[in-house]
Amino acid sequence: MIKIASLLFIISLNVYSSEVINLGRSPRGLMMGDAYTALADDAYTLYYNPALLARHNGFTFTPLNPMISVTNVLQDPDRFTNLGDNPSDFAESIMNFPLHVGMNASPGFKMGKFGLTAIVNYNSNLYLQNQIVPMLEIDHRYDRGFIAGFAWPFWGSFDSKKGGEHFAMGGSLKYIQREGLQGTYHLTSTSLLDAISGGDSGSIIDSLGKVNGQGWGVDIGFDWAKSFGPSNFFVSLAILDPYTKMNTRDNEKNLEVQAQPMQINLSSAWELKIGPIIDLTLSAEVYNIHQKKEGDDYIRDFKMGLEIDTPFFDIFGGMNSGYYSYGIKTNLFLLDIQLGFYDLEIGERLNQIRASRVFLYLSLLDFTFDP
Amino acid sequence: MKIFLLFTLFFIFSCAKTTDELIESAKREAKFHLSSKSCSKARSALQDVGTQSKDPVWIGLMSSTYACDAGYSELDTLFNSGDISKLDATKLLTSLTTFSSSNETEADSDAYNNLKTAINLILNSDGLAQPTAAGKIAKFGQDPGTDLNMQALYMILVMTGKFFAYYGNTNAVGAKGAGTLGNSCIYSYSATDAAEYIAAVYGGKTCSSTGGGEGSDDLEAPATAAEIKTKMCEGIIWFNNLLNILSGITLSGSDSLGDLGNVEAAITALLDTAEAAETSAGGVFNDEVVSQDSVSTLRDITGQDECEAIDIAKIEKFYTIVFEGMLE
Repeated sequence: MIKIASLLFIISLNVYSSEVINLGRSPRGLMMGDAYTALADDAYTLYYNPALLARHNGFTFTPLNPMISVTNVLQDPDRFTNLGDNPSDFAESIMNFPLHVGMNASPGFKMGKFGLTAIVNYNSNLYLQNQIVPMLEIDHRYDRGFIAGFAWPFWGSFDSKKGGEHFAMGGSLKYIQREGLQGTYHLTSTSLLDAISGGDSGSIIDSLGKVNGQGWGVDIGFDWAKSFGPSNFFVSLAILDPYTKMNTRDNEKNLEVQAQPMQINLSSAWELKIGPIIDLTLSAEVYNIHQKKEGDDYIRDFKMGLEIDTPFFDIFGGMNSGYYSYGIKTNLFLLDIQLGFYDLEIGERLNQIRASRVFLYLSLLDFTFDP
Repeated sequence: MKIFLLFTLFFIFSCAKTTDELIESAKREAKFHLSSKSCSKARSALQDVGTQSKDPVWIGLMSSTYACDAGYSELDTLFNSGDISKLDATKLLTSLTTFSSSNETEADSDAYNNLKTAINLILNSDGLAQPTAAGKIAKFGQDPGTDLNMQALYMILVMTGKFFAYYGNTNAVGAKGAGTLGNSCIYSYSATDAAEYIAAVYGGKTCSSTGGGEGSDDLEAPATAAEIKTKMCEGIIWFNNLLNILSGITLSGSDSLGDLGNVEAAITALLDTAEAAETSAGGVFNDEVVSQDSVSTLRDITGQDECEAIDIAKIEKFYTIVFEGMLE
């Protein structure tokens, strides 16, 4: 127990930031408020909790699963009706409005308790703040790599379809190649004005100080799962990136690629078969339980989700930091389509800065073989 | 049971924010408040972590909180208003007085004083007695230093316009003495060489203290001599720091900056001409010992205290040769 206590002090390499950008997010998870650490037994297991591999048997292959996410401009449609014809007019339009575009894919497979997932994640966030001296915050990253994980049940046996009970631990090793740009740029200062005059977006990103890096990291997870008749109950803990070291290539401005901050997430979920054709899933999660919380932090770091599963489509809903998410999924034989809307808190405090996003996910040619 | 004990340990040993994290958090908080122009909330967030004299972002944000109190906003004040496009390098002071922000109706208004605080926070951040653009770049790095210099530059443009519009009593098109305050000159000069220069160069004007009321009412009694010198030095400091920043950075070629890129060359040439004019005509404008070589002495002064250490006669002559001439 003393060793565990010591470990908790050692692994306090956490970073407080307004939005933590993960290597990948499950569309189902996003629609469920991202309360997903105990439920991620899909193609995104290794992004959430490697211990959930212990629930898997047989072989599952996910070859093609692109997802695109963008700012949900429908939340404020009038904002972009007249962008003006000069930079200051455009700045007025985007002031205090977080902009996002993301594209990712996570092809991979699971074989028994082993899983391998490729990382292909493009994520760009822009946010113009400060009416006095406008400052453009940019976080752009393009990640490629892989995560390989394995889980083993300490005792018992649990299967996603057959039930049972187990307590399992899992671990994963990840390799990340990152092209990144992160900084705050004065809108009217020379660095940004010069970069914009450079021409295409690639030149602009280079001028602002894009850097490249790569690194290795590990994740650890725990999972307790138990069946109670027609329902399953889960409690899971994931320690993501307790040690992930990113090394940046030498560059003129001595900039660093974005770090992968540690997360420790505790989640529970309950799956229930209500009738012959309807399943209900509820989940709840506390994000970063190792960070000291005060006042509204408890609400900010609390997530919950709901899924209603029917034969033709699934309906999702959730709440993340007090903001709602929702969406729908339909399965057309070898094509899985999911459309979701979700909001995030990217400010320093609860209800400070809301980022509204929408995504479209397609998964083609998935198959599972379970002997 | 062991599982729950493990989870409980996480809550017990939860990690508070480090000092660096608190400072970053305070800056993000300040930016959020400045986005809605909640000036005092932004300042409180920054003050909660104490003065960060080595952090250029903290300095810039703290300056922004005072600029916010002054009603200043880069986009609204300079760009959206179209004022930056009014800038004319060949008529710098005149064009600055036509900015929509050059609208002071009293000396030392809250807007003026808050903007002054905002500017001085940046100017003095390099810790030098004579602040320089190069000093900020040396202390904070090329990009952060340039960002601070640019932030100060835009505020100084507005401040210079406010100063000379008020004390020069200019009208909407920048004509000196044509405003509503009554004075036809910036100051009522008493220094001998200053008076001789005005009489010789400015078409019969006197701008003299004996002429009665030709200078700004705020630059004469009941204001004390020290207060008057402080005020006049402010004008010199804004002007000189404007030129120092322009000489210390490389401006973007963007069209949105108007004629700003030509200001340094134009004013440097003007000051060279002024320096030559001071010693011309057989030295008749430069034979009063206390005011000798005023242009060469004052043109590079960027610190308020350094300016106030100089004899008022030099300051008067600098005003007559440079500022009164630029507003003619």
